[in-house]
Amino acid sequence: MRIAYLIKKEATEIVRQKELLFLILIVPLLEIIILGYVVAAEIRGIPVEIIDLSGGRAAREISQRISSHPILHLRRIVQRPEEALEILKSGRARAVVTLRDAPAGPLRQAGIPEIQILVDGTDAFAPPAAVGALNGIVRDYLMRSALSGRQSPDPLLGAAPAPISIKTLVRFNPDLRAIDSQGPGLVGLLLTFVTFFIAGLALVREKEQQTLDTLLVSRLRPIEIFIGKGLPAAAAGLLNLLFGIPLLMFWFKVPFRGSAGLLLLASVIYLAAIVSLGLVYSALSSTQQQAMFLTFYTIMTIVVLSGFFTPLESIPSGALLSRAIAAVNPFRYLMRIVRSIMLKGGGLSFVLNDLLILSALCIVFSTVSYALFRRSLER
Amino acid sequence: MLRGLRAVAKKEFRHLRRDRKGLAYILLVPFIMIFIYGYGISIDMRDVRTAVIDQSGGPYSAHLIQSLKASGVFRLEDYGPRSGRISPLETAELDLKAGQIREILIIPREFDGDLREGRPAEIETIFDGSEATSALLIGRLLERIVDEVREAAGPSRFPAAVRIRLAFNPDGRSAVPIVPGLLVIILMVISALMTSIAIAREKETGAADILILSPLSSRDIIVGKALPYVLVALFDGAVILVLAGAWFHIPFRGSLAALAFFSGLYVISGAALGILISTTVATQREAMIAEVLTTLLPAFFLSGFIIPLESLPGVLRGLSYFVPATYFLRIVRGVILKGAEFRYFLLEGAALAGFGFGWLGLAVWGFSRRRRSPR
Repeated sequence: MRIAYLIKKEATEIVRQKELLFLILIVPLLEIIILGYVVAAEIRGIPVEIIDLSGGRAAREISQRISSHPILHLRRIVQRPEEALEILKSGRARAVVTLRDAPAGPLRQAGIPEIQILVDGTDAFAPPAAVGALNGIVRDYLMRSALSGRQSPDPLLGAAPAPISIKTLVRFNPDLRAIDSQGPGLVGLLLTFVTFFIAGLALVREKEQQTLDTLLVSRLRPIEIFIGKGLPAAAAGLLNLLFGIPLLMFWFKVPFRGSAGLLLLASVIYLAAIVSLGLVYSALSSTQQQAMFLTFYTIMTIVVLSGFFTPLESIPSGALLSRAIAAVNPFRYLMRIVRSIMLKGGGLSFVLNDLLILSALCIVFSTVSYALFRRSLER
Repeated sequence: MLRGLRAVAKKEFRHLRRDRKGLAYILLVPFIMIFIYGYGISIDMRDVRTAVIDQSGGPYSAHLIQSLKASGVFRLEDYGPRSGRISPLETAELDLKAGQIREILIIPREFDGDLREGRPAEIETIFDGSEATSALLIGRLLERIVDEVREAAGPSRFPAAVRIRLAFNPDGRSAVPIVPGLLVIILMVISALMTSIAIAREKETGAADILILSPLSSRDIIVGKALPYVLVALFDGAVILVLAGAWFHIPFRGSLAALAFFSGLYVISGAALGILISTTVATQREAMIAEVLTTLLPAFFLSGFIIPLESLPGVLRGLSYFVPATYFLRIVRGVILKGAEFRYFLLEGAALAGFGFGWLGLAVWGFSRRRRSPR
């Protein structure tokens, strides 16, 4: 029963500070909406410029295709020589298409210019999309102009190999809506922030304010302090989840196909794991600044190495540290479970593996954390 | 005139130095971060677990499968005819749902026959859309490999007419845009976060009252408190640059002086934001949460670090103009990777200076007003 007093004290501390309450409940929900639009953004509007030195039909056709392309944006066409690299340097465009008269030969006869495409490789996601789109446009143009200029034996196509087309089906998210796959991760990210911070500061705050001694001379046992400090943090995270998921569903129309109970179970296990981690940071730090720094970097790390932004398979096999962290990253398993439940309607049998790993991690984290926590209290 | 400022800065430095553990974190953590992020944020897909159901089983389909294997992008698992109660496709669909595989590739029975007869052939793929980013990337890679297979089968279709190149990053390595981008994030974390927490700490412990009652000018107090963190941030920035070149082989094509100049402006804007936020909160805990939500998440998401700005909806794009990281990211990638000269970034520099000194002025003004009429 004593533990109830501690929980009550912690909860009162949080509730009394109106600003804090605002920061941990209202602001995360606002962030879900704002960042929801960010992660929902499909790559589009990539600015392209054309340098046309061929003065022919080609520029017209290609520019038309670029301006009607869903992810490209034709910024301008110039008819005088310009340095493509300089345009990219200035950041005005992310890709430059240069058309020059082809040297005498079959190409020139067919009225097809030489086409050079320079794509700015200094962005994380835009280059592959731009290369794919421009490649498609130019190939399509070449194919058509080769077919339409079909006089006698075709100089370009020759005996063309039969085409192979790819018929694509997408399960669980047929339109590949980014918000469907990223939204659940966003909620997870914000609940992790809130919970981890509160837990990470729980003890060190009292150290700094010299109130820890009072807590220590009270008859509370370490386990009671551990749980009493941890529960309010977990509760704050859970509240974020309970408001965040409906927000995704009603604001962004993200489907929820599986069982809410299962999602809740997974979230509680996850929260227990990160609260334990937060509390041990709190116990080991001597100032709030230290605890916050550790907490902050841990969050950034587990988010990046979770498959939230980029697929985990793309981490090079030599990056052992990154791979090892990813393997024991509770956020990764939470992400997989949440996506499976919300988008795939996966029942217990589909998420069982991940749920077991998450539980195992939770047990390891909380046991080790508690041991360290206890030792640091007794010192 | 600068004596007051120096005294406050010296005091803050001493805080930093005495707090060994804290200092170690600030100085060491960027090392770890650069390794985790440099490798972690990557779209160089490899080992994509793919279920292959080859119903055709002829030389053409074998060639296609071989090429997919050789690309290193796909890790193919044969789901071919199996004895069992459920069909290979059903097995694969279940594994897709369970997340065991990312993609199913079906080569229909007619595939070889069609190609042999010179008819167009078709293959089928089924993606897991719950991870939209990877589905898009995998689709693009698959298309490219199939194109190559097709073109290799006949005379070349585009005789040297088209050349597509990636400028500044010819191999398309993900680390090239990401690692310099980390400079933007880490400088902001240290300058904004640390400054705001340092000030909030003094408020919390009551030490701020002593400073407020001291004869020091408001400007000296504020600038003096921020200065140590600005310097530490710049030091960490230098460390990142060295690591980027030495470990990740990121080329440095521009002028170091230009980068240093803009970094200075950026860090000032970060510290100013930190100060401004610390004046609105009462505790370190609030300072931290407010800082993360208003400064760090935007630096990540609204700067172009991950999602290109032109893809954002209008309102958010507008918002991105108020995020200093937006301007600095453009400078960092421009100077380091593109070797762009100073003159390309006059606008960005002006924006950073405007934010930095504007916010700093606002903070000093607010602080001195509160000093004159405390609550």
